[in-house]
Amino acid sequence: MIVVNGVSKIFTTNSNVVEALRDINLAVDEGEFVSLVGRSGCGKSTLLRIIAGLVPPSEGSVRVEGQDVTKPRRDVGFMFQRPALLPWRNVLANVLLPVEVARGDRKALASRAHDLLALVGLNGFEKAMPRELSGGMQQRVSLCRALINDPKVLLMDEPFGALDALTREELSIEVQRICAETNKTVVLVTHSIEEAVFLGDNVVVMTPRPGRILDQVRISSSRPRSWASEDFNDELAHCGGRLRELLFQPSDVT
Amino acid sequence: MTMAIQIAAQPVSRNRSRWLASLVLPIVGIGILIGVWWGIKEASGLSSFILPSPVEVAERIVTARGQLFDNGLVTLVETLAGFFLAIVIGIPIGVALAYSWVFDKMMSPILFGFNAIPKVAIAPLLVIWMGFSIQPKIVMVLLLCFFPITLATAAGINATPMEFRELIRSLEAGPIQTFFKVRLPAALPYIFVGLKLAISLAIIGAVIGEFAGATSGLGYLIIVSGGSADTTLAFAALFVLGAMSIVLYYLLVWAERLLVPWEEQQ
Repeated sequence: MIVVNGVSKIFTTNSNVVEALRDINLAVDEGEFVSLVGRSGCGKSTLLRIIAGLVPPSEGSVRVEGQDVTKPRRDVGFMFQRPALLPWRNVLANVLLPVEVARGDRKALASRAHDLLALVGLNGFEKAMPRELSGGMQQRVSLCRALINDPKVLLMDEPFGALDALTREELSIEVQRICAETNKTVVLVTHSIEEAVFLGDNVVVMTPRPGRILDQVRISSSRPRSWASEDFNDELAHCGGRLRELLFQPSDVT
Repeated sequence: MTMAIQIAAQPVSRNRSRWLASLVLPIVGIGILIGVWWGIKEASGLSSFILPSPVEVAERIVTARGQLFDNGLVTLVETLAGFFLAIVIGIPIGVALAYSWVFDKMMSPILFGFNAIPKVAIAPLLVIWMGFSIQPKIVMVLLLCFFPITLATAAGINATPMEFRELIRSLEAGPIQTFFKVRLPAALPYIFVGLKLAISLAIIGAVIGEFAGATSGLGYLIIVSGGSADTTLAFAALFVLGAMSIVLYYLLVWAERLLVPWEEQQ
């Protein structure tokens, strides 16, 4: 579904040259959930933006569904770290923004928007303005917006990064449920090992300066996973330990 | 739903007392100012030729109401015409400055240099070019209002939050959609800052224009009353000018609340 082939990225500013990514190769199958973890500055957000077509790679290529990515695609949903809801639009109008931009059928998709909002527990909030919602609620609206065009691929850039711990767990359960029900192919960038293991079929570990893929860890725990289940917590203890080993090893060792 | 209602309903009682205070306090402020004025007049024993008392000015406003209204209307028309022209010209130029690096580099020195010229110095030139009609006053208002509106617009368009730019780009929006759906609405709070700065400059511009040569308008009335040593009439005209600029300013504040309600709670 997604193939990243030899991608490198070099940022050139006035004063210096930063090698953000070096020779990244990654394949994501249809319906697979991949978590990208790494320390700050390892280029995981840049990699996600290259997959989304928001940033061009310096070298290499990305293919989504067999097509080269040169610009953003409408069948790829992107969810940002911040909710990025337009403050002058109410919840429903924010969810329908992608439809409007694509000049789609606003009426037909309005009912889909209602369904999505109900799916994340926000029914009755269609007319509310973003400032009236809590951070967690705003991020749920943002998730609905990313899903409104029913994209095959969902890219998420630390979507729970700005939320409190309990809301994060709650939202991760909802994301798991929604992605399983709708069979999305997902790439999630996160700082949280727990989140990466909870949601991912495959956890990709990246190292900084330059950003490279160090290793991949498969998570075999059965779905749906629950934060409370013994099975999942065993898996978390095992895989989490392995991931910590990878993340905290000195970065000059390859 | 209940949560949204709670959030919406909670500040109402506080809002109401705030609203009342925001109505009463300005009147209190004006009352104090008039009191001080009166005190100075009484204590100093200055003649009404130097400093008329508030009562004299108030009486004069009533007796000369026809004259004040006619001339005030002229100044108001000049002010509004120039102000709207400044919006119509200034906002597109501000947008162009923000969008085009080349245009910005090319025009910015000219704009800053031009803004530094004292507009009073241009007023006689405008009279030479356009005569004593209403046009040189409108142009003077435009010259004064243009700069803050243009600059505020450019700043607002440039200040679109990064996350909104990425969002609209990820949706594959064209430049026109990006502008109207994201960048212009996001710039509105900034544009209103410019408009509020410009509206008081607009009235100043109209009066400068009238000082340079006119046959009507409040500025003209002040010049005439100076010539005939009618200080009370000059004060009455100044009062109307002040009242006009207060009303225009608060009309803008009201329009801002209507158009940019999301900024209120910041």
